[in-house]
Amino acid sequence: MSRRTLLASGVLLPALLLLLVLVSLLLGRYPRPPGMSVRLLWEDEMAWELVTNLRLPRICTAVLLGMTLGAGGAVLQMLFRNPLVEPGLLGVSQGAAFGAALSMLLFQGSVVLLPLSAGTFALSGLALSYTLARHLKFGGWVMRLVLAGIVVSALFSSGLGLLKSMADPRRELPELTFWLLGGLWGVSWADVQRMVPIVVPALMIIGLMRWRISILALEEVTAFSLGVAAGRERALLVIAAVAATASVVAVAGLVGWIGLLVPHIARRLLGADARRSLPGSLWLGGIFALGCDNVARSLTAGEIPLGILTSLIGALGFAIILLRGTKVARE
Amino acid sequence: MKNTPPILRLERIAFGYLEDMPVLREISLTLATGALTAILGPNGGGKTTLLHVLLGWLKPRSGALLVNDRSLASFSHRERSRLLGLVPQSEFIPFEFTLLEYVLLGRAPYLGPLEMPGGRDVDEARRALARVGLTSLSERPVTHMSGGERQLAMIARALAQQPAILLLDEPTSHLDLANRRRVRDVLRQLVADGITVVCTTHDPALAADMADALILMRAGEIVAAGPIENTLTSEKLSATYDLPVKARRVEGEWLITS
Repeated sequence: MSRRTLLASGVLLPALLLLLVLVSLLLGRYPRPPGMSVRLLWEDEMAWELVTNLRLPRICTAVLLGMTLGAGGAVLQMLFRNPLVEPGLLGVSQGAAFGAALSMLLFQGSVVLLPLSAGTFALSGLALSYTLARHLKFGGWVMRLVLAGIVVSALFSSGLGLLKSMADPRRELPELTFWLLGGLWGVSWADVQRMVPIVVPALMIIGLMRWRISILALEEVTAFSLGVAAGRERALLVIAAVAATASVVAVAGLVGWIGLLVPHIARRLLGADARRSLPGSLWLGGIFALGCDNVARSLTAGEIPLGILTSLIGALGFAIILLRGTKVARE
Repeated sequence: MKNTPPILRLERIAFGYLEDMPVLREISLTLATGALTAILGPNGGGKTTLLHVLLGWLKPRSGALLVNDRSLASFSHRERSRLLGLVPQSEFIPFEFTLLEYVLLGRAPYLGPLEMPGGRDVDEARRALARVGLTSLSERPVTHMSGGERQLAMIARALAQQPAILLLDEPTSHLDLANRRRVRDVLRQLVADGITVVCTTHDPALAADMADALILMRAGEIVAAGPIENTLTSEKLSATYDLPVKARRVEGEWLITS
């Protein structure tokens, strides 16, 4: 492991994220775009209130969201031995969205039931995709997993469509629709408090086990020969990744592409070894989500839904990586 | 462990993926220690299955697998993985690990779930790379390597486990002549270093080229087992492959024709 990449994954990227957080605190439309000065923050009480009660929780949420989706995507890609996997492709996000929508309509978005319902359906989405992929009689493992994920995601999104059509068009439907677009407006410290107890331990488990994740990316019999209790460790990591994803989706709605794009960039920059690519995905995910959310909230007077931005940038970025990737492979 | 190689013994091992379709029928044998044993037989004869039973990956339906008279099933994951290494026939690696990172994964038996490999592990991985002669490629991605190099990389990864017994599934069958020779020389050197090597092959010429002992298998049963002089005979090969095969020794070299 070269010193340069170690420095990047352990020092440079976290420092960059911290810097972006500090800049984001000042960035916004108050008192006028593009933001306030550090002095104003100390002198103007309104500015202080704004930053600590509105911007800071929102920034924390964006960072947690990006870290979770980035690291979660990296974990799922390695465990399923498939670089095309992301929570959105395996029925996890759609499952979480369906579960959250269900609890919104049935229990008016109870703060306890919503993440729970999102988590349950996210995990069952993953289980369904995995089981279906194992039984498909078509294509290799990579192909089958993607196909199964498409099927399961489609099932959940049709269920979601049904829920939408049943929702009260004046009250519930707008709320549901905006939540589904993905965004962080109106995020409060209460939301952060709800995410942290799940997201932080889950990310810690993933971070601590990162070298094992590389072993679990080998074929099953090889991992067995290396003395790894593959079933147990894989289940623990998948549950950690999915639980964290479900709890951020419950707050932020459907924010796509981070989990697919970010691990690819991390591997390009830092190499495949999860000792570096996993922390890399974590930090880059935070940077990417926070950067996008900054644009989402300060580019226009209104607000661009975050999910739309991440999809736009993510899809373009992924296309660029794929185009450049073939060149590298040919060399 | 190098001084007293462990003795692996199978007693009436039976295995089948399905209840009424036995793949291995009541196999009993003792592996020659400190030697290279080839499990030889036609495709579909149960060779890889036997190898996976030896590894502990497949649990026999009946019978016992004993290491120095102790059941392999009673070994912890960690104990087992320090004893037995596996080189699969091929391995699809979806991510661009460098060769050194890949070989380093072989250190897993010595590290807990939350531990990272340290300097000593890197040294051990480099030593394993030197043993297979790939030191110069250690920073190259494994995904970009040739078939022969990948075979040697898998062997190095298994050697980083420092196993007493190394199991290989068809290690040379898809390699060209030069790479075949390279892999054979590496395996012979490992045997000289005191490691017990077991590999499967469907090619009698390959087995004759490198093995000390043979296990001839056909339809889940052992046709013959023992030192190569006693087992590589026209009669036994013909029974294994169910067609006339001639094995002769001409000027110290095996000549096998069918």
